[in-house]
Formats: sequence, C-alpha cells, structure tokens
Amino acid sequence: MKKKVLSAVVVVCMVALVLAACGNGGSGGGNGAGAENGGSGDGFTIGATVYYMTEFVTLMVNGIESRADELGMDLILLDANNNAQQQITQIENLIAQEVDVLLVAAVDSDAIVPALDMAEEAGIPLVGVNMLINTDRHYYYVGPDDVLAGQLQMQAAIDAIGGDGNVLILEGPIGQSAQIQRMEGNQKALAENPGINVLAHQTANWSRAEALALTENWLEAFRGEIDAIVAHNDEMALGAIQALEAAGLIGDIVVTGVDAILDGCNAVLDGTLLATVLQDAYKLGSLSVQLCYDVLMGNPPEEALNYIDMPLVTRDNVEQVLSDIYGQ
Amino acid sequence: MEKDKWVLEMQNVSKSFPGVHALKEINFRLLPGKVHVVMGENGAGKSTLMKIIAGIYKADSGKMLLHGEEVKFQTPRQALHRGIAMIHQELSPVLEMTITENLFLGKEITLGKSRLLDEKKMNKSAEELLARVGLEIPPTTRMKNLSVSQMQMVEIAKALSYHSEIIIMDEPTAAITDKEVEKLFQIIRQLKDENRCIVYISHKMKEIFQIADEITVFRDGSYIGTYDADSITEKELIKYMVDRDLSQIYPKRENTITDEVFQLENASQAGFFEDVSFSLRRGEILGIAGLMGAGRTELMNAVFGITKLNAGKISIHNRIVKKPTPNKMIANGLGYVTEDRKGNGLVLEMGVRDNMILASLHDLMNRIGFIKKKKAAELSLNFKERLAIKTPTMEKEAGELSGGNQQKIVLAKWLMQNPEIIIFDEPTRGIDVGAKTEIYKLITALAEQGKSIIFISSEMPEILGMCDRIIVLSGGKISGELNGKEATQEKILSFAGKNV
Amino acid sequence: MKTSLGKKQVNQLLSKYSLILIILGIALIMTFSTSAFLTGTNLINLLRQISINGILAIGMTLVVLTGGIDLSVGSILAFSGIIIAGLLRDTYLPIIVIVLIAILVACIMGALNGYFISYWNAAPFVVTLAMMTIGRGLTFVFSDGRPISNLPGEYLEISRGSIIGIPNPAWILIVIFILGTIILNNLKLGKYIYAIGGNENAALVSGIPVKRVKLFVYVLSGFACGVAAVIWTARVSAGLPTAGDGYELDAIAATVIGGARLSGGRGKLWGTLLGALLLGIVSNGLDLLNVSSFYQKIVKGLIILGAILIDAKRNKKM
Repeated sequence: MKKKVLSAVVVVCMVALVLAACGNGGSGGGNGAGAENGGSGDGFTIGATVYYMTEFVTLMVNGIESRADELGMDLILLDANNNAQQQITQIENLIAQEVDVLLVAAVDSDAIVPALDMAEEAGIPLVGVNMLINTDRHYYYVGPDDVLAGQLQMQAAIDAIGGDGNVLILEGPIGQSAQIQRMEGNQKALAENPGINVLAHQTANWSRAEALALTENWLEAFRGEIDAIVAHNDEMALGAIQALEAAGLIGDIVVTGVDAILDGCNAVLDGTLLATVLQDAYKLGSLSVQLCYDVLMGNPPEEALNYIDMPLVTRDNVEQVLSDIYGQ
Repeated sequence: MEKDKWVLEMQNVSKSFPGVHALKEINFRLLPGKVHVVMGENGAGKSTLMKIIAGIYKADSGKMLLHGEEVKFQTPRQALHRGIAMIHQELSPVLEMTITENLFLGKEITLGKSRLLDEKKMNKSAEELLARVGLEIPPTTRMKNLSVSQMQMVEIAKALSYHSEIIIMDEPTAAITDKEVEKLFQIIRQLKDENRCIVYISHKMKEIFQIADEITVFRDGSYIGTYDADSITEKELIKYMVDRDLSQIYPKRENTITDEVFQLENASQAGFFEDVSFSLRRGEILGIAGLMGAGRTELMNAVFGITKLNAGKISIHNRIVKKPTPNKMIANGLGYVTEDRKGNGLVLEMGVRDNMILASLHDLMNRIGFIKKKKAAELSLNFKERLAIKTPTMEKEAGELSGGNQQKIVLAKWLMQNPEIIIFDEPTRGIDVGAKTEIYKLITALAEQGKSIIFISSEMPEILGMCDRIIVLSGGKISGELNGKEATQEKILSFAGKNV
Repeated sequence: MKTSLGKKQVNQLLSKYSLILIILGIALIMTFSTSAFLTGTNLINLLRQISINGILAIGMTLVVLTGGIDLSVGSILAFSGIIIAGLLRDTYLPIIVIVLIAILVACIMGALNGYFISYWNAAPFVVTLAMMTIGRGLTFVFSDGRPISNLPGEYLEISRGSIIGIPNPAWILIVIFILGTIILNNLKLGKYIYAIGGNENAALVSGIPVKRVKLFVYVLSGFACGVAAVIWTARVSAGLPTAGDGYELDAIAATVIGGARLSGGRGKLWGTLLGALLLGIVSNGLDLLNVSSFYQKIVKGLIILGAILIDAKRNKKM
C-alpha cells in the first residue's frame, strides 16, 4: 500500500522534473538573448503564437528569433497545434504574462478575431504575420499575398498551355486561409481566361502522398483531357509530378506550385515543375519582428497591411533563388 | 527423517490483501504419492495458499521449499517449469480457440527446430489426453461449444499434460457430473501410483472421504491441523472448520402449500428444451434436478425473459405474460438468483449497497426521480443484518467479499423486491458449509412466509433435503416428477439418465 | 488488525486524493517558476480554458462508465458549431432558440451513435469512428468548407461575460458537472450506468433496460458536445469546419487521468473534472513558461501514462 503513495509521489516528481528540464530547455532555446544582452530593444517582450510548426513556419520562426535577438527583444513563442481555440487560450496566457506586443500567425483568419478584442482590452498591440485576420478593424500585418501567389501560379500554367485547355487544381485543406486565398487568386486568373476549363478541384491536404493518389485517379478519370495541374503548394505539386512520371506524361501536362521549397526549386531546375512562387519564410519572420519593433517604438509603417514580394520562380531565375535562399 | 521425503514445504507463510489478512503464518507440507485434501470455509485461505504455491500470488513473508531447496516463483510459468500445475476453480479457457490450442497454449509443439506449428502431432496427443479423462470429442472442437463440465475435464487434461509432480485441484468437481467425478477419481488414483502429490480442495464431504489420504483444515487464514483421513470423522472435520456444531444441515419446514401461482405450458427453445410444462403453488419449494446440460438453467433464463421461448406460454396468477422480459417478470413478482454469481448476479465493482438496491431502484425514488438515499441505506442495512452479510462497510466493493457473502448480496437484491416467486439456481455452489446452512434456512423461511420457490441444484442431498416436489429434466425434457418425501437419490438418477 | 486498518485508511485517502496532490504540486511549481501563474486573471483564464474539454470529458465519462467510448465528440462539436454560426448569420431567430437547436442536433447525433451501439450491438469504437467521419463531412458540406464568422456581439457574451467574476464558460461547466453528478449519484440512471459497465449480464438480469440506458448515455455525450459547441463558437467568434479536431483524445485523456476505467464500471465525475483541470494547468503553465509545444506533448503523454500506472497499481491488489 505504501507503493500507491510512492507512485503518486513519483508521478509528481516525474512531471516536475520534466517541467523543470524543458522549462530550461524551452527558455534557453526559444528566447535567445534577453534585454541584458544590451540590444536596443529596451527589454520589450514579444508574445508570439504560430499555427503549427510546419517546415515553412519553422523557417519563419528562425527569422523571428534571429531578428528579435538582433533587436534585443525577448520572445515567448507558442505553437497552437492547428487548434483555433487553443490559440485563443494562448493569447489569454500571453496577455496574462503582460507581454509588450502580440505576434500572431493565425490558425484561422476568422477565429482569431476575438484576439483583437482581447489585445485591445489589455492595451497590447497585435501584429499579424503570414495569415490575414478577417476584419475591417485596424491592425498591423505583414505576410505573403496568397491571392497574388494563386493568381501567379495559375497564370503561369495558363500561359504555358496557350490560353485554353483543361486544368485540375490540388487544393490545400478546405477552410484554411491559404487554401481560400490561393483559390481566390486561381479564380482571378481564370476569370481573365475564359478559354480555360477547370475539370476538377479537390484537397490533398498539403500532402505529397495524397496528391499522388488523387492525381493517379484523375489521370484515369480524365484520360487525355488534362493540360495542366495547379497545386496550392510544392509538396502536392511534387506528388502530382510523381504520378505523371509513372504514367509517362511528364512534359505533356504542366504543373505549378507555391512555396519554392528546396525540392520544388530542384524540380523547376529539372523542368518537371513549370513554376512555383517564392515565399521567403525567413525574411517574413524577420520583417514581422521589425514591424513589432516599429509599432512599439512609435513609428509604424503607413500601410497597416504589408505584403512581401512574391516572385514567380521559373527556370529563368531558379538558380538565383537556390543560391540566395538555400546557398546552393 | 520424514522430512527428507517432503516434496514441498511451506514455512510460516503470510499474505495480506487490502482489508484482509488472508494467511497467517501457515505451515504446510506434501508427501509423495498421497492425496492431500485441503478444507475450510470460503475465505479460510485455501485458494490463496494454492495460488502462492502455483506462483500466481507472492507471499508477504515465509518460505517455500521444493525438495528442501528454497524457491521463489515470480510467475505461474516458473512454477510450471518446476513441476507444479494447478486446475483453477474459475475456468479460464480461450473460448474462441480449439481444445488442442487450449491444451498446448504456451507449450506449442513445432516442426523440428522451426517455428511452424506441428498441428498433427498436437491434435494427436490432445486426443490421447482427452481419452484419458474420458472425453470423446474431436480435439479441434472450439472451447465455446463445450458444456461447463466438458470444459472442466479439458482443464484437468491440461493439468495432466504438464506431467507435473504436484497437481493442485481447486474444486474440480464443482461443475461436473457424477460419472465424470468417477473418471477423475480413477485418474487421481493412477497419479498416486505414479508417486505424484495431489492437492485437492473441495467442499463435498462424500468425495473427500472417498479420495483423501490426509486432510488439512484452515480456518480464517490460520492453519488448524493436518489429519489422517482414516482416523477422522465428518463431524469432527466440520467442527474444526467452522468451530461450531452443525446439528442439522437442512432445517425443518412448516410451510403450507396452497393454490397455484405459476404455470409454464409446453415451453420449447430450439436446442435446449422441449415441451416443458410445470406449475408452482404458493408456499411450495419445487426442486428441479438433472445432469449438467439437461437444460435447467436455459429453462429458467427463458422463464425469466432473458432469452426467448420458441413456443409455450407463461402464466402468473392465471394471467398470461406476453413477450416476457426481465423487467416484466420482476413487475410480475418474480426474482431470479442466478447460477453464475460473477457472470450475471453481481456487479463486482459496485458497493454492497448499490448491488442490493439495483433491482429495486424504482421503489426508492422520490417524486422528482432522485434516489432516496436515506431509505436505501436503511433498507440495505436491514437486509445486511437479516442475512448476516459480513462486510466492513456498505460501500465495500462486492468483488472483495467471500463467495457466501456475495451470494447473500444477490439474495438481498431479490428479497428487497419482495417477490412472490423466487428462482434459485445452484444457490450454494462454491460456498462453504456454514453459509450453505444459512441459505437453506432463508429459503425455508421464505416458503413458510408463503413465497413460492423454484430450487435448482446438482447436489442430490440438497434437492432431497429441501424440496416439497421434484421434477427431473433430462435432455431438455421432463423425465419424471417425484414427491419430496418419497424421492431418493436412485429414483432421481434413473430419471435423469433417461434421455441421455 | 485495528492499527493496520487505520494505516490502510490513511493510504487510501492518499491514493484517493493523489490527483489533487499532483495538481497542487504542479500549481506550486508553476507559482515559483513564473509570477504570471498565480494571478487573478490567469486563474480566470484557466477556468475558461478548461471549460470545453471539461464538458466534453464529463459526457465522455458517462459513456466510458458503460464500457463504451465516443470518438465523435470533436465532429459533433464542429457540426453544432457550424449550425450555430450559420443560423446566427442567416436567420433572425433568438439566440436561445439557435442554441437549443444546435444542442438538439448534437443530441440526435449522439442518439444515432447510441442506437447502433445498443440496438444493433455494434462496437462503440467503430460506430463513433463512423460518426466522427460523417459528422466532419457534414460540417464541410454545411459550411462549404469555409468558416462562418462575424457573429453578433450578444452571442459572444456567452464566452466573454462573467457572473461575480467567474467567466460564463466556467459556470456552464459547473452546471454540467452538477447535472452529471446528480445523474450518477442521485438518479437510478446513474446506478444503471455503473451496473452496465461493471457487469452487463447482471444488469440485464436485474431488470435494467440496458439498451435504453446505453442509447441514452450517447445522447448525453452528444448533449455535452452541443453545449461545448456553444462555448467554442462564442470563444473564437466563428463556426469553423475544422473545429474540435482531436478533442476526443483530450476528453478521453481527462477521463482516464480522472481514474475512470476504459472497460467501464469504475470512475467518478470529480476525477474527470480534476483530470481536465490537470491537463489545463499543465498546458497553461507550460505556455506561461514558454515551453515548446513539442515538449508539451511529451509532458501530456507522461501524465496520461502516470495516471494509468497509478490505476494499474491500484487494481493489482486484486
């Protein structure tokens, strides 16, 4: 019976140990330098919450951390695990810690709206990054122009097939802002090109494997009709390319993506991927911290909503991108 | 001198469970080639000691010596490897597997050194083992298709298959027929000749004196003594076990039997029973006898509405009960103390009180549907005292009490409803002599109060001692009816064997 | 005998309250680790944060007590949430009517679960897995895959408002908890739930309407989902098709940490509430401590494991 009590104590100790261990690890790794490192950030603390640690967000977080370090700002960084409600919870927790500015990469553009009220109530400025907030109210934002990206990738595909033909669209997870906005961009380009017919559009949830299976099915269903496949990210575009390779259709059907991840750039170099759109995640992260700093120092930019450049990456400029971003 | 011969010796073994000091400084030893019977009321510590020997429990203190060498078993597997096999009181076959697969579970025979199973060889030796215990069924039969007594015999065959030096049998005859008991005794004698040790736990006095060489008695977790079977009487044994004289096991009845309250007409259920009719009078104790598999329990399950009748009708107070369900039968004044306490009598995780009030909750509610806790507490306490249930608190989980007390809780559950007609299916199975007598008294008292009782039992003396009238089932049909006074064991047996 | 009983009782008390001790221990560690933990606002935040999982876990506990499981809670929450948001946007029905409709829909989905589980004897895991998928699909169909946002301010008060300093979601949790406790302790339904989980055959023989009770616990779980959806939707001010994804696991975790046995028959609602509180405190505290979510997952897993180990130890005495 003593063992029962013992085991209870052990659990407490275990949890405590883990807390202590990762408490140190987290703050050590996450914060980087504090104010005492003598930057010019006046000891400001940024409370950041990002939607999920994808490859892209991880790159962005690298940019956030290094810029915060340079500016001598403290950083608390939380991951909302793609859970909109948890993100609200985290914002409450950040406000409770009296951070100086909130930096939010929203799980959902609509579900984050209440955070604006909370921030206002607490008198803390809120800066959006990467994901727009669906509101008419004033807030500072820096991010990619996903509508533009969608438009560019669709237009590139349309141009390559000569203005008319049949297109398939591999969408992001339905309901996510990036999917919605890239789709909106796709449709903008489609509206200007009445000769293009969309055979089908379905989600492959950002996944290479799902896109591969879906494209295989499409190749059967629309045998000989397909001219282009437009994928909302490079992962899915690469999945589609694998299906095309297996079917021996590379070159007959053009594929475009978004993100310019390393594999994507290499595919552009190979000629299997027609084009992708560069989102410089590191730069985005860095700019978002700069924006926080500017807002706190009282010299915010004129425009509330700021967009980073989203250049189309094709065979003409891919080597440049590879060397600039990936050092190759 | 004699000590050199001891195969197994337990020295000062103690074991506690939460709330129970199950074994207190027990000493025990086994001689080769002898049948050592262990006796004691339920909760006396017999099964606990056996489970320690077989490596299922670990003793808190004390030593266990095997051929003079101290052993400490961590698992039943280790005990098996050292030549100790146990036939458990509660059967644990894997129902979906065949007899062969069950027999060779954990010691499968493979083809040469490969990992492929040699099914042919296993089936063949399974067949031999089954023949040894007198079972003539193909070893590829699935366990779930066997009757309880057949399963028990398979379990015995399994214990034999280990060729163990020590074989512990924990109530092996609780669920088997007389014929099978005879077969088992034959096997035991054979094992004796092979110089093995048999530990035999049973409550059945007749059996014990038939087979025992030595008898050890436990009471309340303490060792009372070991006696030579030839020089001790039944009366003495009972006295050692319960520490009191049981002048009379079956109480005298003064019940008056009046008008009919229940009729079953032409009831059939495919595969179990056929064209069964009987009636029951107020104040009567009706015995239903028969061999295992005669369809007694199935019949009662159908009467209580748990299973459906293919044909036939049930009337209570001359009104036909249409589409019976347990709920409807309870409303009609029926109660059913089931055969299998743990299977469908009790919720082991629930407290004593909650188990008791489970079937009477509708009578214990106030106008807005809340349970009247105070009333429930008073009522259950009242029954606890009436039935002399031994429990530290009313919240104690039913699973932590002894078999006799568990059975009393089931009884209390039904008595609380104040039923007119109560079915008792093997009400004394697996409980000790003292508790048995108490249950007999209760049943008799109920009949004297004008309740009607259906009493099912496999123990002949019980049926003969308790019932006003006896029907015998055989092969799913009524093969005979006897008046309680003129019934004898021989008459019942001749009816019971009629349709087999 | 006497003395060992006294000692035993002390140990039993300790084991009974081990969860509270662990929670207090962690709270203590948090208090020393960060000044932001033990503040009025943070504690109020905490109450608000555990409300949704707490409510779902209470429904889950009722299901688990009968030996079942409900994997569809997240999807039912999402579907009810979309209905609320859709009706708020497209109709002029009073908020209370909309809320009742959404809860009713959630109850119906729960009833469907229960119907197949009890009357068709289908495995709860599979039936609710199917409902989880169907519910998510329905949510996408009804929402067209897009969030429904800009809900009216009065509606948002459900989540933002408070009474005597305690936020509304916490009040709702308390009410649901009290209702659940009454069901389990004071109504015969509660005894039936325990009996069915403990020994379904015994319950049947005792004349308990087993099928009806089993159906009803899934209705209750659906009800909890509906109520949670009301808070969820108000909290994020939108109906999201992806809402509640994975919530079934959090609810099951709280239930298990609270000491309920997955095979049924054993468990207490206050345990579940403490389980939800423990998960909430850990997640809140680790957020305050700026611990990466990677580590948070490990801690959460360890807590679940620890709870199960304590329980296994407790049952080993048998």
